Amino acid sequence: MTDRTTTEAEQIRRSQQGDEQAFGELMRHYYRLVVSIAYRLCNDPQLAEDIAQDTFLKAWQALPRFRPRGEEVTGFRAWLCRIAVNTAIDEMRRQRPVTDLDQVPLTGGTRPAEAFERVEDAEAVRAAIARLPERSRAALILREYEGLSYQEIAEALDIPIGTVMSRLNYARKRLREELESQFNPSK
Amino acid sequence: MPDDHQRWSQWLTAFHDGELAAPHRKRVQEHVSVCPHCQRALAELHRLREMLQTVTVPWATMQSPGEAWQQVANRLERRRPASTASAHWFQWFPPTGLLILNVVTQIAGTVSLVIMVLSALGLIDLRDVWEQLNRGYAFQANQVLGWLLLRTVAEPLGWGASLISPSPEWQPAADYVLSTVFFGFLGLVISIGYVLSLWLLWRNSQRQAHYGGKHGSH
Repeated sequence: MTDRTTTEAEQIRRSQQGDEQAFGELMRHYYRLVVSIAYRLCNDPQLAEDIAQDTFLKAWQALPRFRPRGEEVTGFRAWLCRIAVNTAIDEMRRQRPVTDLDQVPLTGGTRPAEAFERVEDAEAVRAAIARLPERSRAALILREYEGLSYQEIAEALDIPIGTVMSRLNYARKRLREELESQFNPSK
Repeated sequence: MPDDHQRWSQWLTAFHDGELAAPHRKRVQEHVSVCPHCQRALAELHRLREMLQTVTVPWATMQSPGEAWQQVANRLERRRPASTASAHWFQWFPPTGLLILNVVTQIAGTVSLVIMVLSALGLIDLRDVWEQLNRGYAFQANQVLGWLLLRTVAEPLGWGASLISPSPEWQPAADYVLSTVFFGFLGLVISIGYVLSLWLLWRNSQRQAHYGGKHGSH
């Protein structure tokens, strides 16, 4: 184990025993990960910060019951991602609609792959991600932005690895279709 | 060969995500090198990844981890039980007081029960016992508490001793029986209060354990 892993494992154990200072160190380390997940799921910076705080409060409450399945630190990261995703989805359902989909151009049929190459607009990508079903979006975000392995995503979303792969495939296929058509409506 | 490409699509995705073991990775590389369709599909996956990276989080306008922790720490502080270690011993007052009261009432209640049983067997006359009680010789706790309940609660509701007394001369004994019954009820209430106060104490100690003792909150 690396020094960071050892330190983190110790911080997790101390946090489980009620040490707020250790939990604060964990939160500082994982805060951007949680905010990033929340923001990419809900597209609202303020809401993402609120979700992140709620995520850490829930994590603090649930920590005494946290039992990593495999390696402690990666298990903790997946566990935290799970709380973040569930908190974000709950909050989005409560506050729906967060993303104003009326502002996003509607898509047509399949477009040639060449048009796909010209897509540069980050807002369009963001909107296309927002159109994905929640669970596929979560799988895509955890993989593409947070770099979680299939195993970690499976733990975070509480689904089998096969389902992770199919959700990722579906999300990518949908994104390709959305983005190809959106920037080449004439074809 | 659409079926074949469909089959390779999952492999390409796993390859693209770096999730394949070395032998499988080599196999995919060999296939991609001779399959234009899969080369395109893999290039699209790479392109999609590049596009996804254009979406960034507006960190500049958001809280730093330290600021966010400060807010979370404040929320934890607000949720923490107000009592401190120095005040812990006060928590034992309610259960201890109720326990003492319970012991006293249970002893008095048991004695009362014995008297009632003896009376039912014809071994003693309750009217004599009542006279003794009135003279203040015994069972004061029982009598006073039950009597208070009888006078303040039962009689205003029309449930006084006259209800069960067959004749005026039995009135004191009926009074005593009802006092005992109400006293038993009081004992039950005290017992429930005792259990409840112990449960509250236990729950409080659990919360104390979860929120920790003296930890810095930055």
